[in-house]
This record gives sequence, C-alpha cells and structure tokens, in this order.
Amino acid sequence: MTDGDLLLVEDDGAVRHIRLNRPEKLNAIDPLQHERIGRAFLDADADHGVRAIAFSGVGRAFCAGDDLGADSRSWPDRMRNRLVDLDLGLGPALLLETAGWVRHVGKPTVALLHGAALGSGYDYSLSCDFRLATADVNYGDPRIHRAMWAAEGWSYKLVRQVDQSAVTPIAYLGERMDGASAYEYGLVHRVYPAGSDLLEEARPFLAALAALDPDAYRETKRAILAGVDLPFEASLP
Amino acid sequence: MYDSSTDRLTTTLSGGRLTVRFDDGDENRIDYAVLDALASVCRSAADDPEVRVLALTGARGTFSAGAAADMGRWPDRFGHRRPEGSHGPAPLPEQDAVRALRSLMKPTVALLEGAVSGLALDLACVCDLRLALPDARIGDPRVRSGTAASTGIAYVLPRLIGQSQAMRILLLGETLDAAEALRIRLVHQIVEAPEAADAVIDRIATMPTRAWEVHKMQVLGQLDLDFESAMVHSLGVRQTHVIEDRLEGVQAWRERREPRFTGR
Repeated sequence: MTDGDLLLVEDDGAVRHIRLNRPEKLNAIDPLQHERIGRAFLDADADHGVRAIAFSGVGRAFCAGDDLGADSRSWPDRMRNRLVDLDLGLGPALLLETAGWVRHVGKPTVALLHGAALGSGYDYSLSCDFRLATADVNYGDPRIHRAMWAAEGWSYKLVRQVDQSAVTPIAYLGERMDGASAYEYGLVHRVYPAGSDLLEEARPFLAALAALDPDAYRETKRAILAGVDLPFEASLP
Repeated sequence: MYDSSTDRLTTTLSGGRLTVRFDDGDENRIDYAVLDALASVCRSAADDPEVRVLALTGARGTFSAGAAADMGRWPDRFGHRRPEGSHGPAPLPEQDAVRALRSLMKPTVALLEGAVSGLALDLACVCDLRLALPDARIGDPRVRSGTAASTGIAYVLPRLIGQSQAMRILLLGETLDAAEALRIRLVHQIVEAPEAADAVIDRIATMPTRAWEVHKMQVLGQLDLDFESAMVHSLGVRQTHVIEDRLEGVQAWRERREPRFTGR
C-alpha cells in the first residue's frame, strides 16, 4: 500500500518497512509527510501481523532534513488551530507529536540510516529503538548552525540515550557524525560498510527482532521508556 | 559590569568571549570571596548581549586545586544561614556558585590544565564543554579527607559519564590524566596548547548564542521531567524565546554563504 507514493509501506514477512519516497528531494519532510509517517507507525503498531518496523529512505539518503519551502497549506486540518506564526511558517508542534507517536510504538522500531540523516530525519531516528547506519552516513543535528528553531523533543530523548557529555558536541555544537563516531557515542547500534544496501544487510537484525515474543518486548520497552524518569519502586510493574 | 569584587577572580571581555580566571598563587584556590564573585559574574553575563561565550580558566597553567583551607569571611548575603555540622559550615556559597554557573544558558567552556580538583571540578562539570591540556590532572579527593561532596557533583557527574565512572572519581578519589579523562568523556577534547583552545572558544563565540540558549534551556529543564511534560516544556520554551539570528541563518543558506550571527 502507498500514500500518494511519497511514503511506501511494504511488508517483508512480519517486518513492516516504512520508506520515505521523495528521492529527488533527498526525502525532505513537509508537514503532511509528518502526518503520514506518524499514522504509518500507529497503523503498524495496531496490525497483529507486524512484529518489527523498519524506517528507511529510498534513494541516496535516508532523510536530509525538512522541506523549508513547504507552507501552511500543507498542514493537516486537525492542526489548524496549533499553527504558530514563526518566520518560516512552520512550528514545532506537529513533528513533536508525530515523533512522540513513533517513540511509543510497542513493537521494535529500527531506523536504517544511509547517505544523510539530518533534521527531522534525525529526530525520528532518536524516536526509534535501534539505529543502523552505513559507515559514511552524514548524521547529526546541524540545525543550530542556521539558528533554526529546535524544539522537537530531541532535548528529552538524546539526553537519555547517550551520556550527557555527548549532548554538547551533538546538540550544541551540531557536530557531524559518521557511522563510526555515532557508534562510539553509543547512538548507533550497527555500522555497515559505505555503500551497503541497508535493507539487505539489516534483514538478520530485523528477523531476530520479529522473532521475539511481542508481549515481552512491549512490556520491557514500556518499562525502559517510563522507568528512566521514575524512582526504583515506582518503576516496578 | 564585570569588575570582580576580588582580584583572585579576574574577568576579561573581548570579541564576545568573557574569560573568567582563577588567580591566586600556584594553586588558584577558591574561597568564599571568589565564589561570590563568580556567581555575580555569571548572573551579569546572562543579561549581557556582548557575552557570547564564557571561558573558565586558571592563571599560570593551573585551573584550580580546589577549595582554600581558609575559606574566609562568610558572605553577607548568607548571613543568617550558616548551619554548622560536624564537618563545618553548610556549602551554601559553593552551591550558589555552582548553581549560578550551571544556570547560565550561554555557552560555557572550562579550559583544564594542571590541577583540577574538588570544588574546581564541580565548576568544570557544570560547563557545557571541557577542554584539557595534556598536563591536566583531574580528580576529587574530598572523600579521602572526610568531606562529602555536596555541591551538586553527585547529581551532575553520573549523568555526564555514567554512574560507574562517577563513583570511581567521587568514591575512589582517583586522579585522572588528560588521556584517561578523554577516554571516559569527562573532557571532550585535548588541546595541545592554549591557542588551540582559543580557536574552539572563539568559534563558539560566533555561533547563534540565542539558539544555544534555547537548546540548553530545554536540555537542563527536562532532565527531571517525564516525556509528556518535557514536550510541553519544549513548546513553551521555543515559543517564548525569539531567536533573531534565525533570519540570518535562513538568508545565508539561501545565498549559499557563511552566516554572520549577532548572538541575539
């Protein structure tokens, strides 16, 4: 099934692939695409036939960032009264919400990062459980170098995924990471050679996740995501 | 505005960089007067658009060996609050200085060389970036002298480098050289000479300072929040702080040139 072809949704057995499909724009994401991405993850979470979800991009890059040319007409209707009139005509509210949906999916989520993974592509990758990358990926959050608005929820997520010392180079200095440096920060879980076809390379990783007991996975994931902010006793189910 | 109230803490403002320097003999030890001056400088820097980065350093090749044996006169502003225990007065001035430096949302950089110990490490750890010269010797011997670190380092350090390494420093009282400090990410980068540190710091001074503030405000404000509260916090911060440099950022991108940020 597809949605205007801009987002491909395909199953490989119990693995659902959600694929950004705007290769001529390096998969830059506009507001309506955020809505599609969020809905695709929610649908996958609700579909009993799906046991793992992979998020990737068609073409030369996973996602090079945000479609700065998009205007307010591309907002979903339900967000009409949430529009904030910032200079760029876009506000953080939508991405913050859809990235939150992705984070709380109960199934294994894996971001496959190749070419470039920047901007909201970076934000979505932080919302996934696992990040697999090619060695030569251009990964990170350079938005600060254009003084761009940055309130999509990375400030909460990144801090809990890596030691806080890494927040300065990644979030404040907007350091460009490749596969190896992202792996060293602990942000990326597997690094594959430059030029690898991640859909092929990641099949064993995804298959292993899909073979796990879904209830055990859901409960463990929920406990981790909630427990990080709770005292010990409160964190026990 | 930055006339320090003591000559044991000197300040220089130039090219957007506010250099704050511990300056007392061989060890640059820190007493109540120095803490008071530091807190005051940080609070002034927060509102001064001329300050784009604060660099914390020590004179004559030593950052600071830590608290002075004689801390001097109890600060007036804590006058009536001087709880005493078996281990001396409560660390209110120390906590206040750590709090003031940590609360400064502008970029803060600690340049570590020579001795970096105890209270000095507390201050270094609430800076955003720690650069070390190869001769830096970093540690916290307070547990060995029967002093419990109660200045905020017990909260800050485990989050910075993980609980395992934090206990090594705070409970074993180990001293680390620069290479080891880099390995556990207690410092971000080793610089061979102060000039190399200058390049890093001066580059930060050209960054869009307000954007750094908005980033940092969110990170620090959300450390103790749950997810939903953090999301609301992010929206609140972003929509109540204007980043004027955004216009220049977009313009520079459109014109395919380097941006020239004002920091506002």
